[in-house]
Amino acid sequence: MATFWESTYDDGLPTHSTNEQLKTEDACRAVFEEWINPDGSLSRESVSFCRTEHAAYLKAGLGSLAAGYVSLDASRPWLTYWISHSLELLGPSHALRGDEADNVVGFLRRCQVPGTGGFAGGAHPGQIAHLAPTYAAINTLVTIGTPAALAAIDRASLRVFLRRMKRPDGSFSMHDDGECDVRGVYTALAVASLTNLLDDELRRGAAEWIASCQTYEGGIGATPGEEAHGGYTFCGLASMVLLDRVELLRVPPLTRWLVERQMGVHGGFQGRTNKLVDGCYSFWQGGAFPLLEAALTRTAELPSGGIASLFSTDGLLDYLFVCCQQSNGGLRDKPGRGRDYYHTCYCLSGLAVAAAEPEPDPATAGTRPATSPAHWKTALGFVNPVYNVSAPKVEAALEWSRELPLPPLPSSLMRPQPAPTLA
Amino acid sequence: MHGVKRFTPEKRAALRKENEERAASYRSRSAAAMERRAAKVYDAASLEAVAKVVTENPDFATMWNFRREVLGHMFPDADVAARKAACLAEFALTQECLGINPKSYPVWYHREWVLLWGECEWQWPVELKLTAKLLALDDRNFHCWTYRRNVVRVAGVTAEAELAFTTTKIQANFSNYSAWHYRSKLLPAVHASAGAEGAAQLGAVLRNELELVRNAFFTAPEDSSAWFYHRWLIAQLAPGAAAALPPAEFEALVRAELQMVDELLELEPECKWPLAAAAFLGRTLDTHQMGSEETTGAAATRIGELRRVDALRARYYDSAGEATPTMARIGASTPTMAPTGKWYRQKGNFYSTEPTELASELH
Ligand SMILES: [Zn+2]
Repeated sequence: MATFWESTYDDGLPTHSTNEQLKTEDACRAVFEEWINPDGSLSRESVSFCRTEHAAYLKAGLGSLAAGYVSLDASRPWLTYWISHSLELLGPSHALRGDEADNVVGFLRRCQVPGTGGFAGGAHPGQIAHLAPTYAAINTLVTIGTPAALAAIDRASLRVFLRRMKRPDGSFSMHDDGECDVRGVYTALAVASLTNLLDDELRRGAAEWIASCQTYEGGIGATPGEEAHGGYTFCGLASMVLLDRVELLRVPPLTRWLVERQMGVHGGFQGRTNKLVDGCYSFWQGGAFPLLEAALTRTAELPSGGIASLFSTDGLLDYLFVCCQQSNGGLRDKPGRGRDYYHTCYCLSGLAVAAAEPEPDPATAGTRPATSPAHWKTALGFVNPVYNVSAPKVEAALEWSRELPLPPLPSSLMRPQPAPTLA
Repeated sequence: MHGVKRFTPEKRAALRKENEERAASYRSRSAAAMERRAAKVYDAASLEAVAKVVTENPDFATMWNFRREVLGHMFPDADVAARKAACLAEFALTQECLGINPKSYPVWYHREWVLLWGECEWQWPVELKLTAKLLALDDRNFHCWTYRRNVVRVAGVTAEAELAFTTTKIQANFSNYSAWHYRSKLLPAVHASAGAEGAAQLGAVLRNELELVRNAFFTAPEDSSAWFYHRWLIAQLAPGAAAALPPAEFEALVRAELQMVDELLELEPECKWPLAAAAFLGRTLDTHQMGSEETTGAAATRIGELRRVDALRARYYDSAGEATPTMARIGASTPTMAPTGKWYRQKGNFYSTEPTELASELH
């Protein structure tokens, strides 16, 4: 679980994928059936948002920063991001503040690699910086948003780190002597944009490289030639938004690819063609729609219904509220799976995106009734889908970094220190 | 909204204890390896220390970087023969780690690095076999597909051989979209010879492919994989494309495909994918000015049916993708948009007040 999308691999059983699909549909149907009215409709009004339970589950997770969880050892900033972002969306009375926030900031400061820049996956001295935890750490600090949190970001060394990750072909390595794929471009550009470090050298060739990862059917793969995948598609599209180069992608097939990933029976999204539904793609796929919306709005070609004319926001909300919520707090991939912080974060983020769609305009909506109840639509705060951080917190961070000068680069980019000594 | 596993308190305590013990032992091993890295100890004992960490946590990128530093120091000169035993150990270790997490980025990366560092020609057949074995366990593991493609590139495996591999994968399971995708990359490479002859060759092969997908359609029309591949095949044969057929031939082919899909729809009138294919084929005729009033009308009817059976996407069919040519123009212009703009819609009450908690009533 060290990276973006979780590493579950038991949902790809060969030769039985159609059976698995039917089993998943049955499991979802069974959960929906608990909420069916005598007239056969879904009793959405009765399905509450388990806000306090989600908050309690998330707060309990902060404790695991210090202890246990071997598998998170190289990705602890992800845990702070999943938790702090989720709590922020749950509203002001649950958002991290005070000592809890200060502890997280202090912890992330210890993950930051002095001199050569970036954040490592843990606070152990000697861990290498990596773009994934760098993105997670900076998103966390922006979400907390206090002057101390923002000041914890060492922009000078971050700039050195980002430059060092830049490759001649325009893409980015995830870390020194590390792999390169679309995640690298997205995380580098996102953190550079939030901290006002996005210069011409970081932009160079990135849009063309992303475009070369778009597949025939319209989605985006990890590297040129690979199969399209929801996580990389989000990262690629968001990168193009940050670069203001969306037009370099073939937008109609991209739209169709995204539209086809929503599942008819239960309303959630799959990650790739012919895969099972998974709650985390509520954001990786669902979050791509507002980005697409912005691109289409610019060309005045967005259909009148907004993103709801591209995918069923109501269908996604049904899946998230009914199939993914656990009444004891936390959200999950699908019925039958357990909750975890990753899925809680990306289910809530997708929920925030789908709920932000306003009620349909009766003049254009035809006979389509508003199906999602008000307490679903107002469950969460707004998310800025480019970074997947609370929208007002993104604005505040951009306001903070706008006036900051570009820190100078050393004449030759600093190489990573072999290994700092242990304290 | 429920379905939560419940453990007895005893079981819970036992699990916690086990987890704590495992974590403590892991922490001490991890600290030992980090200490060796800090002290720049580049020897076999350091390799051993790293192995004890990554077999517990394969995703720990720092450990793999340290491993490569150690190997580089232990075998400084380019004596590839001397590296062979070391490489074998690396292959064994990474294989063990892939057994723990077959989708670990740093493990796949390290294995590829070893293959190149040791110039392990002798290992190429093993790698092809190993990836085939892992893809038999999970035929959609994209890490494994990517790695295989990299091995194929390094080893100079022919596109023909890989095409045969995808054929066996599709025969085993034609829901395997990853294999169809790979096929769409391999076919143009197999028939890459330049000029009209190459295009004609590719065209002939692609027409054979239509037979392959037809079998898949009639066996399981609800399975989307082959339908997406079908779209790719048609697009390659269209006027102006890589394997363009003469216009009259293309028109005849699209009409024959339409007829095939219509026949399938006689058997499966409610099935989404053949309906979408019929609409797509009708639109393709229109795009190339090959349509008639009849085919255009039939495509519109199909979209109407599609709207009904795939109600979730009804508004998409209405407003965008398939029904109107609007989407074709999107992306043509280049207006500017700062990413700092207001992405989200303003809502009066930014955060809702706490909703009434019904949770207590729900189980
Ligand atoms: Zn997931």
